[in-house]
This record gives sequence, C-alpha cells and structure tokens, in this order.
Amino acid sequence: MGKARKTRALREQERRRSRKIRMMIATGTAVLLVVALVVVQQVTSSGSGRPDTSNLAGIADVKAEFSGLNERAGTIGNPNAQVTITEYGDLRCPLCKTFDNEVAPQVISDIVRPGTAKLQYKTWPILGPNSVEAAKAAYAARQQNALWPYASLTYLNQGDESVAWFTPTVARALAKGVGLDITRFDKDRTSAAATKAIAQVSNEAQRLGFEGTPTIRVAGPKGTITVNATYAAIANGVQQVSGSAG
Amino acid sequence: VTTRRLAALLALLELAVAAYLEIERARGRSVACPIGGGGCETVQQSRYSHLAGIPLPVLGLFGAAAMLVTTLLGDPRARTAALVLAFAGALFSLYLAGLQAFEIHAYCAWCLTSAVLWLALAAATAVGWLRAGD
Repeated sequence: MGKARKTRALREQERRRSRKIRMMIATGTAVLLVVALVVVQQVTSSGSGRPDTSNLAGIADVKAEFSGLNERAGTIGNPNAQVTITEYGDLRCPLCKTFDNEVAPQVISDIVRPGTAKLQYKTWPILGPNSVEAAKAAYAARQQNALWPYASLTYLNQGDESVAWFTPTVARALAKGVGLDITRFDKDRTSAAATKAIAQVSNEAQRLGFEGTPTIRVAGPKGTITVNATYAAIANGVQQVSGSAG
Repeated sequence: VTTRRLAALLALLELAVAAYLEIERARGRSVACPIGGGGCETVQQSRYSHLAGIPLPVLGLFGAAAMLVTTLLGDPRARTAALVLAFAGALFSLYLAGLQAFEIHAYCAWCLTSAVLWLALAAATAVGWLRAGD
C-alpha cells in the first residue's frame, strides 16, 4: 500500500518535472521566435528618414507637371469648371504621397487640363505637430499660388513619418525648389493667418466626418460626394456630379 | 474548458482587430482612431509597420488564426503550440508597444488593444495548459 503511494508520488513528481521542462521549452521557443522577428524588423526598417535638402528630388518633374496650370487659392485648372475635386491631405502622410505620385498626375492630365474639373488641395494635418508645421508651409506656398507644386515637391522628398523631418530648413529648401519668394514665405508660414486657415480646414474635415488622409471630395451641380483615392473612382465621381442640377 | 473558450474568444477578437487594420490598410485608408490624436496613422505608416515587407496586420491575422485553430483542437500538442504562439504574440506585442513609446512617439489604440489581447491570450493559454496537466 505504502509502496503504491510512493510510486504514485514519484510518477506525479516526474510528470510535474516533465511539464516544467516543456513549459520552459515553450517559453524559450517563443522568446527565440520573437528575437528573430525583432532582428528582421530592425534590419529591414533602417534609414535616417529625412529628406536630403542639398539634393532635392523631382524639381524639374514638378515644374513640368504644373506648367501652364494657373493656381488660385490652392486650386488649379479651369476656374469656370462646374466640378471641383478637393483633396484633403497631410504633407507627411505616406498615403497622400502615393496618391500624389500615382493618381494625381493622371487626374491632372485627363480631367483638369481638358477643363472638365478643377482641382483643389486643402491641408489637413492629422499626424501631429510636425504635420502642422508642414501645413503652415503649405499655406505660405498657397499665398504665392504655388501650393500644388510645393505639395508635390514635398511628397517627392517626403521623410519617414516616425521622424519630425519637416524642419524650417526643409520648408525653405522646398520653397526655393519651386521658386518662391523666401522672405514672404517665412512671414506667411509663421503668421496667425496660417494657424487660422489650418484650423478652418480641420474643423471642416471633422464636421464632415472624414476618417483620414487623403480624403477626396467631388462637388458639382448634382451634389457633393466622397470618393476613394483612385483615378477610376475620381473619374466616376466627376461624371456622377456633372451636368445640370435636378 | 473555460480558459479554452476564453482563449478562443480572445483569438477571435484579435482576428477581428487584425482584419480591420489590414482591410483599411489595403483600401489605402487610415483607421478610425478614437484616442491618441492621429497616432494610429503615425504608427500604421511608420517604418516599423512592416516586417520584411509583410504588413504587421497580416502577421497578426496569421497569428490569430493559428491561435484559434490550436486552441480549438485542444490535444496536448496543439495546447503546447498554442502556448508558444501566445507567448510569442504577447512578447512581440510588448516590443511593438515599446516602439510606439520610445521610437515612434505616438500611440495607436488598435495596436495597444491587440497587445492587451495577446497578453490575455498568453495568460489564458498558460492557465489552461497548467490545468490540463499534460
């Protein structure tokens, strides 16, 4: 009787020991797995994340993209066009960069240049204080009717979003890149009017319930709609709101 | 049985969070960010949002799906696999939370929710494993 109990106790002890070892192996495997994941992530995510102001990319491309397009109040294209496409963007937002690099050029060449619609940019900074700095610079470029080229050049040289890369040096280098009057640019960038203009757009975006950037709105005689940030969706949106009302 | 059900429920919730993040990312939209003032997009678009080119929500989807399957299977091997998965998920989530605090300087409510779910999964799976007495 006592022997059986002893055997049972020994077996139980052995089972506990084995369980402890397996728990340790499981924990060790998990730790090794995570270490491997962290190493891979750190290796594949390196880079300074700041634009090279001494060698800005795409100055000539931006000039070519907007040549002959007059800008007024952040809007390019035929001022009498019945349809207005509005982009709510943040200069530090990577999705807006993708939109500006891949979708906007076709919108400009196929919809804006033929005069079907005009294209407006509204700066809505949603990525923290550094985005507000970028939005102020965009406001100053808008005052010199060069918001579109300024935004495009910024997107082409966009830094990493996790870095506060939009410094006054970057702001000025980009302004020089699109040929702005730097004294006026700095004055407008730091003005109270810039802060007020940004607040107005932010309030508008919040009131309209936008969830993020880029948000694209298409307005025309048949109403105003929010569309996806793709060429097909914008072209379709322009058709939907075009024509006489009613 | 209770911890297994709890773990399955947590894995389902994690699956839903990862699916939402991935769908919004694939649609090219930023997620609704109830707290943190745009922190979700900052985190989502930071250079830490991918692992060797794979978006982290995709990794989360696979992790949560594997977690759900191993939890539901319930045999000793699956229980041990679930334990490894849950521990790895919890540790990696803690690392990602650390990145948000010390590298990105922005917080994403969805990512923190996911971290809490993984920690709870690790706790539930460990308790279940100990109770099962394999």
